[in-house]
Amino acid sequence: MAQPHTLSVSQAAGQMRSGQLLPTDYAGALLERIDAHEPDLQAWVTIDREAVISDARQREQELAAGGESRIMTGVPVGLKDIFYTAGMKTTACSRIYADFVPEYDATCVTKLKEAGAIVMGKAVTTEFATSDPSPSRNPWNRDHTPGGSSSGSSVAVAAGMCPAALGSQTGGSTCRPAAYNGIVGLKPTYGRISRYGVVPVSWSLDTVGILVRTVTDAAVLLQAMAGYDENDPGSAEEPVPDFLQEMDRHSGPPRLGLLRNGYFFDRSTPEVRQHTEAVAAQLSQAGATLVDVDLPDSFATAPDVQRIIMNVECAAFHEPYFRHRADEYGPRLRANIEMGMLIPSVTYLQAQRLRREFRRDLTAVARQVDALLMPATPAPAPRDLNTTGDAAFQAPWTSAGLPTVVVPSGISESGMPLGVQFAAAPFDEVRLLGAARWCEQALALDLRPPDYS
Amino acid sequence: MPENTPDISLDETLETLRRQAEARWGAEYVDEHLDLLELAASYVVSVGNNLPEVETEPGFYQ
Repeated sequence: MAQPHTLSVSQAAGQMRSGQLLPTDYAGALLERIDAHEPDLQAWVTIDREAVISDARQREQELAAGGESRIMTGVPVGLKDIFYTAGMKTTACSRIYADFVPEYDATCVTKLKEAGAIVMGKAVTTEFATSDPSPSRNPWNRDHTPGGSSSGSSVAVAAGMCPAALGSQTGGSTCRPAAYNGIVGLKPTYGRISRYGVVPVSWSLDTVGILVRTVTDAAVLLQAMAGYDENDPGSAEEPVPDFLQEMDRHSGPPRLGLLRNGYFFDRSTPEVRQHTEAVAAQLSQAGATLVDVDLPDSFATAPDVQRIIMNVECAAFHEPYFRHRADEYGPRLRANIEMGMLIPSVTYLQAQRLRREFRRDLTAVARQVDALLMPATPAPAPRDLNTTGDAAFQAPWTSAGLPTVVVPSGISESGMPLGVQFAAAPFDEVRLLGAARWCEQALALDLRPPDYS
Repeated sequence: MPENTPDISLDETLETLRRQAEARWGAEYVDEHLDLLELAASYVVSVGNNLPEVETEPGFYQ
């Protein structure tokens, strides 16, 4: 029988439903694993062990009583420390929020609990989910960055401390660390999951992200959390499909649009370019239809637009604290806030207008295929703990609000994971996840960090 | 529709940002953060010289 820490969300939930695995045993095994590896990896800010075991015991009783089965009953989930948790500190790994204890759960946390999940604890984030590196270490090689800002969430999933964790993405904060740690990362369409009760970076960009080990698990968590929330002004009133069932309608070989020309390949290292070509060839050989697709002209300003919007909105949120406590901010965040304060208001509004145009144009490109295919990052995780890496391949999609998913696809010469990224039209996560799952199965990889497998 | 041909200069934009930064945080800040100001200026110019179609309204919540 598989070790508990190797189980995916779907496997663990299935074993607990069938009585093969008790929620208290599962939670206990994961807590032991955290005890063993946390000193090396520094993935967690807060863990309430008693609450974890108490919640697991409650789920055990529910299962024993034969109540209605929920999709995540007994599954522990890590939460980036920007998600409000009633009665538990939410520090955003900052000095400003160091003692903040919310009185309510974020909507997405409430929904996870309603799906039967257990809150495993609060995972390390870079300060206020921006770009000053966190103390978390990459389990593949502790001298390489784990990425950010969802660093603790990604490390915890990669090292088998929990099967799933929540992150967030304003630039590249979910899909980049997913790639750097060899796991699956999903950034849904902007507005698909409520941001109510999430410490903001930038209101019009922030998206709740999902970090797991399989594409199917990404669909499970999306199912649990998706839906309109009147408390979130950016929440979308789009119907929520049965993702798992609907994905089966897209289980055949997909039509993939390879973004070989321009931005993504131009910015990649030769190794990443060759790897992505090899992945595309492998998927083609397995039956996928590969076509070359070009980015629209309006994409050219997308990266700059993202930086402008993020920095200005970030400055607006932090302005009341920053006025009196600027010295308590990390240097990169401080620089971003200061830049945001200097950008003219007219430039901010022009950026918002440009964003609308390239969202329209990218959507039209995405609709030509089941999913767009590109490298996940320009290079594998850098051997540098003073950076969180390069978000260049995520930021344009976050800015456009289109959904993306990263799937592990190999190992680099440096021994670090490589990944590919898929993107689709807004609110077409069913097609996106269906295509990504087909590719995941065609690649047939099971990447685990050697020292933590 | 009237023609729209922006031509925003990087040097002028940088000078404007330098003056604003100096007024807020002093001359020492400007000397220490020239890279940041140059980056900000490049963003402003990038957007200012690639204006959207006249009819396009801002995206905000998309």
